Amino acid sequence: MAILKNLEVLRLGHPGVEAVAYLDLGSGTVLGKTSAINQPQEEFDALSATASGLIGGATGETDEAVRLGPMDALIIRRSPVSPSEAVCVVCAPDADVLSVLNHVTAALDANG
Amino acid sequence: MTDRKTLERRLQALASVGVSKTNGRTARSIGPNSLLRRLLVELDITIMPRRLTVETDKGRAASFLVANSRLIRIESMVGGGTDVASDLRSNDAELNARLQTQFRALLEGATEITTLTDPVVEGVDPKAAGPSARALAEAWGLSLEVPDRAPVEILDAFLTAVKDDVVAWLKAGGSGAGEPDKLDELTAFVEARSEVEGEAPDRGRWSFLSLRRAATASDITVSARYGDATVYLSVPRDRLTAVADAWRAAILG
Repeated sequence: MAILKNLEVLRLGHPGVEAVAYLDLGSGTVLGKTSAINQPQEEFDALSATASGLIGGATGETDEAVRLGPMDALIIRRSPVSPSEAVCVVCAPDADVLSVLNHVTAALDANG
Repeated sequence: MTDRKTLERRLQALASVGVSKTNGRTARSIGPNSLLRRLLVELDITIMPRRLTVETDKGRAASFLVANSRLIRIESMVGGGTDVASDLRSNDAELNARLQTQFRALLEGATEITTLTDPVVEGVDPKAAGPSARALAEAWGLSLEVPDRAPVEILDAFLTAVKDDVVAWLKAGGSGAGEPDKLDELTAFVEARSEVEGEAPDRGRWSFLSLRRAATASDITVSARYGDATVYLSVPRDRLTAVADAWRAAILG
Protein backbone atom coordinates (compact mmCIF):
# COMPACT_ATOMS: atom_id res chain seq x y z
CA MET A 1 0.00 0.00 0.00
CA ALA A 2 1.34 3.39 -0.98
CA ILE A 3 -0.14 4.85 2.14
CA LEU A 4 2.12 2.71 4.32
CA LYS A 5 5.20 3.99 2.57
CA ASN A 6 3.95 7.53 3.08
CA LEU A 7 3.33 6.86 6.74
CA GLU A 8 6.80 5.43 7.19
CA VAL A 9 8.17 8.63 5.69
CA LEU A 10 5.98 10.57 8.09
CA ARG A 11 7.23 8.66 11.13
CA LEU A 12 10.88 8.86 10.24
CA GLY A 13 10.85 12.40 8.96
CA HIS A 14 8.63 14.20 11.39
CA PRO A 15 9.66 15.10 14.91
CA GLY A 16 7.63 13.64 17.70
CA VAL A 17 6.02 10.78 15.81
CA GLU A 18 6.43 7.50 17.63
CA ALA A 19 4.00 5.20 15.85
CA VAL A 20 1.56 5.33 12.96
CA ALA A 21 -1.28 2.94 12.18
CA TYR A 22 -3.73 2.70 9.30
CA LEU A 23 -7.07 1.48 10.57
CA ASP A 24 -10.28 -0.02 9.26
CA LEU A 25 -12.78 1.60 11.60
CA GLY A 26 -15.59 -0.73 10.61
CA SER A 27 -13.90 -4.00 11.50
CA GLY A 28 -11.44 -2.60 14.01
CA THR A 29 -8.60 -4.06 11.99
CA VAL A 30 -5.11 -2.58 11.89
CA LEU A 31 -4.40 -2.55 8.16
CA GLY A 32 -0.81 -1.38 8.49
CA LYS A 33 1.54 0.05 11.05
CA THR A 34 4.97 1.49 11.58
CA SER A 35 6.60 2.12 14.91
CA ALA A 36 9.91 3.21 16.38
CA ILE A 37 9.88 0.06 18.49
CA ASN A 38 8.47 -3.42 18.10
CA GLN A 39 5.18 -2.88 19.85
CA PRO A 40 2.92 -5.89 20.39
CA GLN A 41 -0.18 -6.22 18.25
CA GLU A 42 -2.33 -5.86 21.37
CA GLU A 43 -1.17 -2.27 21.76
CA PHE A 44 -2.19 -1.45 18.21
CA ASP A 45 -5.54 -3.16 18.72
CA ALA A 46 -6.15 -1.01 21.79
CA LEU A 47 -5.02 2.04 19.85
CA SER A 48 -7.47 1.18 17.08
CA ALA A 49 -10.37 0.95 19.53
CA THR A 50 -9.46 4.26 21.14
CA ALA A 51 -9.07 6.02 17.80
CA SER A 52 -12.37 4.66 16.54
CA GLY A 53 -14.11 5.89 19.68
CA LEU A 54 -12.68 9.38 19.36
CA ILE A 55 -13.59 9.83 15.74
CA GLY A 56 -17.02 8.21 15.97
CA GLY A 57 -16.37 4.90 14.25
CA ALA A 58 -16.79 4.06 10.58
CA THR A 59 -19.82 6.27 10.08
CA GLY A 60 -19.03 9.12 12.46
CA GLU A 61 -19.21 12.76 11.47
CA THR A 62 -15.81 13.67 12.89
CA ASP A 63 -12.93 13.71 10.43
CA GLU A 64 -10.07 14.72 12.71
CA ALA A 65 -9.41 14.24 16.39
CA VAL A 66 -6.51 15.20 18.62
CA ARG A 67 -6.26 14.00 22.20
CA LEU A 68 -3.51 15.31 24.44
CA GLY A 69 -2.32 13.29 27.39
CA PRO A 70 0.48 13.66 29.91
CA MET A 71 2.63 11.04 28.18
CA ASP A 72 1.65 11.30 24.54
CA ALA A 73 -0.59 12.91 21.96
CA LEU A 74 -2.97 10.92 19.79
CA ILE A 75 -3.88 12.21 16.32
CA ILE A 76 -6.56 10.60 14.15
CA ARG A 77 -7.47 11.58 10.58
CA ARG A 78 -10.21 9.92 8.57
CA SER A 79 -9.40 8.98 4.98
CA PRO A 80 -11.07 11.36 2.51
CA VAL A 81 -11.53 8.59 -0.06
CA SER A 82 -12.41 5.71 2.27
CA PRO A 83 -14.26 7.25 5.24
CA SER A 84 -14.34 3.96 7.11
CA GLU A 85 -10.53 4.05 7.27
CA ALA A 86 -8.30 6.37 9.24
CA VAL A 87 -4.71 7.10 10.15
CA CYS A 88 -3.80 7.16 13.81
CA VAL A 89 -0.54 8.71 15.01
CA VAL A 90 1.05 8.49 18.45
CA CYS A 91 3.52 11.26 19.15
CA ALA A 92 5.42 12.91 21.93
CA PRO A 93 3.28 15.06 24.21
CA ASP A 94 5.09 18.22 23.14
CA ALA A 95 4.95 17.54 19.40
CA ASP A 96 3.53 20.14 17.02
CA VAL A 97 0.18 18.42 16.55
CA LEU A 98 -1.06 20.66 13.74
CA SER A 99 2.08 20.03 11.73
CA VAL A 100 1.66 16.27 12.20
CA LEU A 101 -1.99 16.51 11.17
CA ASN A 102 -1.05 18.35 8.01
CA HIS A 103 1.54 15.70 7.20
CA VAL A 104 -1.05 12.96 7.71
CA THR A 105 -3.47 14.78 5.43
CA ALA A 106 -0.77 15.06 2.77
CA ALA A 107 0.00 11.35 3.10
CA LEU A 108 -3.67 10.47 2.67
CA ASP A 109 -4.02 12.81 -0.29
CA ALA A 110 -0.96 11.24 -1.90
CA ASN A 111 -2.67 7.88 -1.49
CA GLY A 112 -5.47 9.29 -3.65
CA MET B 1 5.44 4.03 25.88
CA THR B 2 7.78 5.88 28.18
CA ASP B 3 10.40 3.33 29.09
CA ARG B 4 13.98 4.26 28.44
CA LYS B 5 14.34 2.11 25.35
CA THR B 6 11.29 3.69 23.81
CA LEU B 7 12.52 7.16 24.50
CA GLU B 8 15.95 6.43 23.09
CA ARG B 9 14.41 5.09 19.92
CA ARG B 10 12.13 8.08 19.76
CA LEU B 11 15.05 10.44 20.01
CA GLN B 12 17.10 8.55 17.45
CA ALA B 13 14.24 8.62 14.98
CA LEU B 14 13.16 12.16 15.55
CA ALA B 15 16.17 14.27 16.40
CA SER B 16 17.05 15.01 12.81
CA VAL B 17 14.24 17.38 11.94
CA GLY B 18 13.21 20.62 13.61
CA VAL B 19 9.84 21.40 15.09
CA SER B 20 7.98 24.63 15.22
CA LYS B 21 8.95 27.13 17.81
CA THR B 22 6.57 27.20 20.74
CA ASN B 23 5.40 30.37 22.37
CA GLY B 24 7.27 31.76 25.32
CA ARG B 25 5.67 30.96 28.64
CA THR B 26 5.71 33.39 31.52
CA ALA B 27 5.37 32.29 35.12
CA ARG B 28 5.08 34.53 38.16
CA SER B 29 6.31 33.63 41.58
CA ILE B 30 3.48 32.41 43.78
CA GLY B 31 5.60 31.47 46.77
CA PRO B 32 8.99 30.23 47.88
CA ASN B 33 10.62 27.95 45.31
CA SER B 34 7.71 28.27 42.87
CA LEU B 35 9.93 29.54 40.03
CA LEU B 36 12.55 26.88 40.72
CA ARG B 37 9.84 24.25 40.63
CA ARG B 38 8.44 25.74 37.44
CA LEU B 39 11.82 25.46 35.73
CA LEU B 40 12.06 21.81 36.71
CA VAL B 41 8.54 21.21 35.37
CA GLU B 42 9.64 22.71 32.05
CA LEU B 43 12.53 20.23 31.99
CA ASP B 44 10.23 17.38 32.92
CA ILE B 45 7.74 17.94 30.09
CA THR B 46 10.43 18.22 27.41
CA ILE B 47 10.82 14.89 25.66
CA MET B 48 12.29 15.80 22.30
CA PRO B 49 15.70 17.51 22.16
CA ARG B 50 15.16 21.20 22.74
CA ARG B 51 17.02 24.28 23.79
CA LEU B 52 15.32 25.81 26.81
CA THR B 53 16.01 29.50 27.31
CA VAL B 54 15.10 31.22 30.54
CA GLU B 55 14.97 34.95 31.26
CA THR B 56 14.17 36.51 34.60
CA ASP B 57 12.70 39.92 35.32
CA LYS B 58 16.01 40.72 37.02
CA GLY B 59 17.80 40.55 33.69
CA ARG B 60 19.50 37.19 34.17
CA ALA B 61 19.29 34.48 31.55
CA ALA B 62 20.31 30.88 30.98
CA SER B 63 20.22 28.35 28.17
CA PHE B 64 20.00 24.58 28.51
CA LEU B 65 19.90 21.57 26.23
CA VAL B 66 17.13 19.27 27.39
CA ALA B 67 15.93 15.89 26.14
CA ASN B 68 14.07 12.92 27.52
CA SER B 69 13.07 15.01 30.59
CA ARG B 70 16.76 15.32 31.40
CA LEU B 71 19.14 18.22 31.66
CA ILE B 72 21.84 17.39 29.16
CA ARG B 73 23.93 20.52 28.97
CA ILE B 74 24.06 24.01 30.42
CA GLU B 75 25.06 26.26 27.56
CA SER B 76 25.07 29.48 29.53
CA MET B 77 24.24 30.17 33.14
CA VAL B 78 25.12 32.15 36.21
CA GLY B 79 28.38 30.54 37.27
CA GLY B 80 29.21 29.23 33.80
CA GLY B 81 28.08 26.46 31.50
CA THR B 82 28.85 22.80 31.77
CA ASP B 83 28.26 19.47 30.10
CA VAL B 84 25.99 18.09 32.77
CA ALA B 85 25.64 14.67 31.23
CA SER B 86 29.41 14.15 31.39
CA ASP B 87 29.67 15.50 34.91
CA LEU B 88 26.94 13.16 36.09
CA ARG B 89 29.17 10.17 35.59
CA SER B 90 31.49 11.42 38.33
CA ASN B 91 29.42 12.40 41.33
CA ASP B 92 25.62 12.74 41.46
CA ALA B 93 25.26 14.43 44.85
CA GLU B 94 28.00 16.93 44.17
CA LEU B 95 26.56 17.78 40.77
CA ASN B 96 23.03 18.12 42.14
CA ALA B 97 24.23 20.52 44.82
CA ARG B 98 26.20 22.61 42.35
CA LEU B 99 23.24 22.78 39.98
CA GLN B 100 20.96 23.86 42.80
CA THR B 101 23.36 26.69 43.66
CA GLN B 102 23.45 27.79 40.03
CA PHE B 103 19.68 27.62 39.55
CA ARG B 104 19.04 29.55 42.75
CA ALA B 105 21.55 32.20 41.68
CA LEU B 106 19.78 32.50 38.35
CA LEU B 107 16.41 33.05 40.04
CA GLU B 108 17.58 35.14 42.99
CA GLY B 109 15.20 38.05 43.56
CA ALA B 110 13.15 37.22 40.45
CA THR B 111 9.37 37.45 40.58
CA GLU B 112 8.81 36.34 36.99
CA ILE B 113 10.49 34.12 34.44
CA THR B 114 9.87 33.61 30.74
CA THR B 115 10.82 30.31 29.16
CA LEU B 116 11.17 29.57 25.47
CA THR B 117 11.87 26.26 23.79
CA ASP B 118 13.41 25.71 20.38
CA PRO B 119 14.11 22.47 18.57
CA VAL B 120 17.65 21.20 18.58
CA VAL B 121 18.67 19.62 15.32
CA GLU B 122 22.15 18.47 16.23
CA GLY B 123 24.40 18.08 19.21
CA VAL B 124 22.29 15.93 21.51
CA ASP B 125 23.37 12.37 22.07
CA PRO B 126 20.16 10.32 22.46
CA LYS B 127 22.00 8.17 24.99
CA ALA B 128 23.08 11.16 27.08
CA ALA B 129 22.04 10.60 30.65
CA GLY B 130 22.00 13.92 32.42
CA PRO B 131 20.01 14.24 35.62
CA SER B 132 16.27 13.93 35.22
CA ALA B 133 14.03 16.75 36.36
CA ARG B 134 12.48 14.42 38.91
CA ALA B 135 15.86 13.42 40.32
CA LEU B 136 16.82 17.07 40.70
CA ALA B 137 13.50 17.86 42.34
CA GLU B 138 13.97 15.06 44.81
CA ALA B 139 17.54 16.14 45.57
CA TRP B 140 16.39 19.72 46.07
CA GLY B 141 13.38 18.80 48.22
CA LEU B 142 10.76 19.91 45.68
CA SER B 143 7.70 18.24 44.18
CA LEU B 144 6.80 18.35 40.50
CA GLU B 145 3.22 17.38 41.07
CA VAL B 146 0.66 19.86 39.81
CA PRO B 147 -0.37 22.22 42.60
CA ASP B 148 -3.80 21.59 43.95
CA ARG B 149 -5.62 24.51 42.38
CA ALA B 150 -9.30 24.99 41.77
CA PRO B 151 -10.29 23.57 38.35
CA VAL B 152 -12.18 26.76 37.55
CA GLU B 153 -9.02 28.78 38.16
CA ILE B 154 -7.11 26.63 35.67
CA LEU B 155 -9.81 26.85 33.02
CA ASP B 156 -10.01 30.63 33.45
CA ALA B 157 -6.24 30.89 32.96
CA PHE B 158 -6.59 28.79 29.82
CA LEU B 159 -9.44 30.92 28.49
CA THR B 160 -7.48 34.10 29.13
CA ALA B 161 -4.46 32.73 27.28
CA VAL B 162 -6.47 31.78 24.18
CA LYS B 163 -8.96 34.66 24.16
CA ASP B 164 -7.55 36.10 20.92
CA ASP B 165 -7.95 32.74 19.16
CA VAL B 166 -11.41 31.76 20.36
CA VAL B 167 -14.44 32.23 18.11
CA ALA B 168 -16.82 31.07 20.85
CA TRP B 169 -16.56 29.41 24.26
CA LEU B 170 -18.95 27.69 26.61
CA LYS B 171 -18.43 26.42 30.14
CA ALA B 172 -20.23 23.23 31.04
CA GLY B 173 -23.32 24.24 32.98
CA GLY B 174 -22.36 27.89 32.90
CA SER B 175 -21.60 30.93 30.85
CA GLY B 176 -20.48 31.36 27.28
CA ALA B 177 -19.71 33.99 24.67
CA GLY B 178 -18.77 34.45 21.04
CA GLU B 179 -20.31 34.32 17.60
CA PRO B 180 -23.97 33.25 17.98
CA ASP B 181 -23.93 30.47 15.40
CA LYS B 182 -20.72 29.02 16.82
CA LEU B 183 -22.14 29.24 20.32
CA ASP B 184 -25.20 27.32 19.15
CA GLU B 185 -22.93 24.67 17.65
CA LEU B 186 -21.04 24.39 20.92
CA THR B 187 -24.30 24.04 22.86
CA ALA B 188 -25.43 21.23 20.57
CA PHE B 189 -22.01 19.60 20.88
CA VAL B 190 -22.11 19.74 24.68
CA GLU B 191 -25.59 18.23 24.80
CA ALA B 192 -24.55 15.36 22.53
CA ARG B 193 -21.32 14.92 24.44
CA SER B 194 -23.06 14.74 27.79
CA GLU B 195 -25.02 11.72 26.66
CA VAL B 196 -21.79 9.92 25.78
CA GLU B 197 -19.71 11.00 28.75
CA GLY B 198 -22.45 10.26 31.22
CA GLU B 199 -21.57 6.60 30.86
CA ALA B 200 -17.81 7.07 30.66
CA PRO B 201 -15.57 5.72 33.41
CA ASP B 202 -13.13 7.92 35.33
CA ARG B 203 -11.08 9.65 32.68
CA GLY B 204 -8.28 10.96 34.86
CA ARG B 205 -7.53 14.40 36.26
CA TRP B 206 -7.59 16.26 32.97
CA SER B 207 -8.35 15.82 29.29
CA PHE B 208 -7.92 17.82 26.12
CA LEU B 209 -9.68 16.79 22.95
CA SER B 210 -10.06 18.64 19.67
CA LEU B 211 -12.48 17.51 16.99
CA ARG B 212 -13.02 18.65 13.42
CA ARG B 213 -16.46 17.76 12.16
CA ALA B 214 -15.62 17.91 8.46
CA ALA B 215 -12.28 17.81 6.73
CA THR B 216 -13.02 21.14 5.11
CA ALA B 217 -14.18 22.92 8.27
CA SER B 218 -12.07 25.93 9.18
CA ASP B 219 -12.87 25.68 12.89
CA ILE B 220 -12.34 22.92 15.41
CA THR B 221 -14.18 22.17 18.62
CA VAL B 222 -12.01 21.80 21.71
CA SER B 223 -13.14 20.14 24.91
CA ALA B 224 -10.80 20.90 27.82
CA ARG B 225 -11.52 19.43 31.22
CA TYR B 226 -9.71 19.75 34.50
CA GLY B 227 -11.22 17.87 37.42
CA ASP B 228 -14.94 18.54 37.40
CA ALA B 229 -14.79 21.68 35.27
CA THR B 230 -14.98 21.69 31.48
CA VAL B 231 -14.83 24.40 28.86
CA TYR B 232 -15.68 24.01 25.18
CA LEU B 233 -14.12 26.21 22.52
CA SER B 234 -14.59 26.90 18.85
CA VAL B 235 -11.24 27.98 17.40
CA PRO B 236 -9.70 28.20 13.94
CA ARG B 237 -7.95 24.97 13.07
CA ASP B 238 -4.71 26.76 12.28
CA ARG B 239 -4.50 27.78 15.94
CA LEU B 240 -4.54 24.22 17.23
CA THR B 241 -0.88 24.13 18.24
CA ALA B 242 -1.13 27.49 20.01
CA VAL B 243 -4.23 26.35 21.90
CA ALA B 244 -2.57 23.06 22.86
CA ASP B 245 0.48 24.95 24.15
CA ALA B 246 -1.78 27.26 26.14
CA TRP B 247 -3.50 24.26 27.70
CA ARG B 248 -0.20 22.74 28.79
CA ALA B 249 0.85 26.06 30.27
CA ALA B 250 -2.45 26.41 32.13
CA ILE B 251 -2.33 23.02 33.77
CA LEU B 252 1.31 23.51 34.74
CA GLY B 253 0.33 26.52 36.79
